[in-house]
Amino acid sequence: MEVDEVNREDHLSKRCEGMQRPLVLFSLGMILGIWLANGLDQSSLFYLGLGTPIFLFILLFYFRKGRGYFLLIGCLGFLLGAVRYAYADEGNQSTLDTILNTQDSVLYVVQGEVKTVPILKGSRSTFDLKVKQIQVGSKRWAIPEETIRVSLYLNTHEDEKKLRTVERGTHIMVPLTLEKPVSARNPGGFDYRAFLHKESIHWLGKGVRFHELKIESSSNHPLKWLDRLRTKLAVRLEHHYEEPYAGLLRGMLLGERQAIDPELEEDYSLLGLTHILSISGLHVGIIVGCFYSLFIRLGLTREKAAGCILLFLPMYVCLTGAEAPVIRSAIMTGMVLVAMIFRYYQDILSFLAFSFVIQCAWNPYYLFDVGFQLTYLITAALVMGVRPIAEKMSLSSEWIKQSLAVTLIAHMVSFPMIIYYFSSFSLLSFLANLLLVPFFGLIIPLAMGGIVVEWMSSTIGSMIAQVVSMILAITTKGIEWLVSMSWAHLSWARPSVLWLILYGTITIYLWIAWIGDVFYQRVHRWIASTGFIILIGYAYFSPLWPKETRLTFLDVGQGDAIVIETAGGKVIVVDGGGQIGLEERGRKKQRRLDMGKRVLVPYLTYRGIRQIDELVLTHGDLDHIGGIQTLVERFPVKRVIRNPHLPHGETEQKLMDELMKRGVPVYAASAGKIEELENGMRWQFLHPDPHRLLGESNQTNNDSVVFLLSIYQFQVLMTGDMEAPAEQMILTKWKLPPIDILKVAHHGSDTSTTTAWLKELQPREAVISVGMKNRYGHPSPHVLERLNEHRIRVWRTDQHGAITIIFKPEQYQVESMLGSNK
Amino acid sequence: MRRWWLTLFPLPKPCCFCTTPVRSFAFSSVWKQMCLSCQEQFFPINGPVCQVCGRPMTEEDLSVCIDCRQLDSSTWVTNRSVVLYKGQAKKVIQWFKYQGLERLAIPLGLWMAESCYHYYRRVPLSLITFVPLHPNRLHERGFNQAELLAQVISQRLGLPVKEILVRERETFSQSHRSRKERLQALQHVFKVSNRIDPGWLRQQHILIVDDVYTTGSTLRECARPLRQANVRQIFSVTFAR
Repeated sequence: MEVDEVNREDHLSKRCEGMQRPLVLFSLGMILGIWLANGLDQSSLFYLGLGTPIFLFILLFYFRKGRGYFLLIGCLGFLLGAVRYAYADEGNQSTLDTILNTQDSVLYVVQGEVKTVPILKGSRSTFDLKVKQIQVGSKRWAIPEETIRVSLYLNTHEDEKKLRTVERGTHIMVPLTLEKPVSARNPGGFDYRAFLHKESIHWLGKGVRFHELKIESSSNHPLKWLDRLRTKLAVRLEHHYEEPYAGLLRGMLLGERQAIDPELEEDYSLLGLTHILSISGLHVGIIVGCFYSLFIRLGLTREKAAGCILLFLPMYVCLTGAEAPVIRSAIMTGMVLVAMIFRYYQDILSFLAFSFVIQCAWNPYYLFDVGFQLTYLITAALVMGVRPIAEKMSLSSEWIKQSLAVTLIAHMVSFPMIIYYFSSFSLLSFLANLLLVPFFGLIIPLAMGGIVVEWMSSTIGSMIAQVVSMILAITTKGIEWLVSMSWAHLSWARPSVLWLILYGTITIYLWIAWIGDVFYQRVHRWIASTGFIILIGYAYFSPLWPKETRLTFLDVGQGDAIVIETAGGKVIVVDGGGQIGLEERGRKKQRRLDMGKRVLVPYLTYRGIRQIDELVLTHGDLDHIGGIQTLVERFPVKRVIRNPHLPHGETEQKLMDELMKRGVPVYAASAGKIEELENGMRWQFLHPDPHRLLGESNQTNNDSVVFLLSIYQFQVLMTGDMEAPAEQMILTKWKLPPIDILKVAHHGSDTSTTTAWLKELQPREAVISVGMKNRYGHPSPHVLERLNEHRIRVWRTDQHGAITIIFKPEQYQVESMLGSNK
Repeated sequence: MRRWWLTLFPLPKPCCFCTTPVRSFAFSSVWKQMCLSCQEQFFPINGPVCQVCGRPMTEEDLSVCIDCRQLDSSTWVTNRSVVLYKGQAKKVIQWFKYQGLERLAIPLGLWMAESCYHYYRRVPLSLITFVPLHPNRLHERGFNQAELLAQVISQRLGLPVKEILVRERETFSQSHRSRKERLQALQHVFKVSNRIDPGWLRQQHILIVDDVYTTGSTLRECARPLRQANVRQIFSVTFAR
């Protein structure tokens, strides 16, 4: 019997030996520690006090029994992670919070040191500033330690010239208005405040008077020569390539993401090709490989070649902006090179863990960064998975096997993360990667070589540039072709954490079932594959399942965008436009923001919506249809309902052409029509009457499509921009039931929402879709007064962010993104 | 420095039978967890085998080998072996049995379990037992190699292992005898332990485990008392032959 016991233990310890890598264990512990510390929100002393005794206990156990080594290492990692995160979070507080008031728009004179190279995009330059002192009037505050993100608007060429003298380490003095970054104003929207918090930035500085910027002392930053080199290289790229290729190459080679054309970037991310744009393992691998073979050609020994590359790696990292993925791959490559020099063993997975530990210890907030998570997860999976999977493939070409295995694994791993963070995953992503990545494997070294060769011979340099441009043109054509297949770019609702855990487990199981030599392999493969398909199916179909009816007034600034998701899975969009009020003032080139792209499409994607059943365009004003073009390009639309006027204005005409091209049926709303949408839900169009139109062709507010939506026992009235005459007409023509939710017409303008109207409808809730600080002065104080007189609860998108009303058969419930209504 | 490096970035697990590091997974087959040079020196039995004794066969048309045909078919015991008893296999068995390298039971047993899965997957095995040692010999060696193997196999296959047979008298090393002597020396050496419930035993499909198959006489002798006890079916597995 004794033999049995000993034997069993021996056996078990043998099985665990796969986990022998202490650094991997340590980093797993660290992940857990940081994650927990983020959730628990305790002080670093708390973790130190709680963790140290436990650690000592395990240590004692280890020395007594000679066992528990792995537990010890994991626990140490956990402790370190938790303490490091808590310590960082304690320090991440704003001094400015104690001084400044969020509401005022006072101009402060800010003195400080520039921390990042200013990025110029259009006429806006952005950089981080380490604030030393702020001053307003005779009041002055010295700020010990705080960085703000500054946006400055340039007006003249003089300004641009001056901006070039602002470098990392320059001390400047500039008048700025200081404000808090916005948090997410729409469901699924980007939370800029939380994002910047993780970068230890709590305030934004905005300035329109660039000429008042004073340079106090020039930079003595040790790395400024690298910044200058980067600028110089960027200029060379601009010289040799046309847009958008120049921008693309600046992004791919120099890490200047902002230089890439946003539309192009969007196409790349739609097809899951973003990893090409951010400098990562692919780039470092190509460069190191090229240099290594070059050095070997030149007659250097392997060790010396490795040493030379090792010296130049940190420079490359700094040159390309030192983002998380490039640091990761540089540390890993560096370790490989060190191992080569000293002829040590190379354990790539441990190297990965090593760089993880370094990066997380440096900045524990990294763990919550999407790019960071993706780069580590995918690399880990590739390091472990590619070889065995490639071996299992019965293909003749080693190269095809490798790239198939790499693409497969990268997709399996990134899929849940992509749908979690971006809600969108294209079916063509696999194909796009398989076909296009090899091209970039060619483009990157060629373009780089071109820039280097140019020093010696500019003719050869520009010849190479032409070749690269040609390849880029081909890939861009390919990408455009793939992007045009909109059926394949699917929206996925954000999965739950449980789903993510299940996915992880099933994927590992599937992998083992596929490449391991397990008994009953066929059964395991079958179970794993079925489980995997069920999970994917669940993620795909779950947004289609019946749920409660939701009515969402999106915050699109000054304008309307309303989405109705019915319990039966139908989607009705009423208008989609708007603009942010703040962007309007003081700019010579006014650029209208596409709220379709910025708010409407992201929201629909976030909700896992894949098609629009009814699109109501109340009337043709830009703040109602400005974002519809993007929407129509991105989602299939089944039917459009609009007022009977001919389209006026360029935008509307273009939109109508697009609808026509896509064969979307367009109907004119006709007053009196009642339609059953689904069980328990119908809508009735009240206005306009095609035979008695009130407006002119370019002034159609009073012919806005107005409809009454009945959801279970509740009445919702959608009003567009109609004004008093239309209200009067509806009141005389229809006998309306008491309204539960009224969309206040025309963003709360005084010309609508008359006393008679409110008296008749008796609404319980009123929603005003209106932009903050808009130039029309909406909503009118008179309207607010009238609403108040009738004791109606008022919801405003400028104050509450997006407003969502959830309907259940017996009650409804109003939610808002920012704070609640009193 | 090198030591520190190896602590942080350790070498992969060594090969099952030597010290060469091999990159493999815990869920890979034993074969894949071996280094190339060990792989070269083992001669695994793949392909067609004698349906009775598991000897590798060249002609596929014959299902039973010549040696087995000479035996009375009522004494046949279905046996399968993992490798040929030559090269590294011989050395490994030496280390395992005579130099007391008990830990070798793990890779050997796992490998045998893989063969069992391969050959006996469709057989409703219910019990694993092993060729017993005489108590004197057990005392001398300290362990019964067949028992160790049986334990590893049972864990891998998820079947119970039980000591069913006992050796009635001491026999001396088989290897010094002629074929005929061997056959005779073993006659009626084994019997079913009297601690076993015969009614229960009758229900079993038994797998007998041994390390090496030479003439098969040991296994046939082991099978004899079991047959008399009317067990359902008898199979055997050995590491080498």
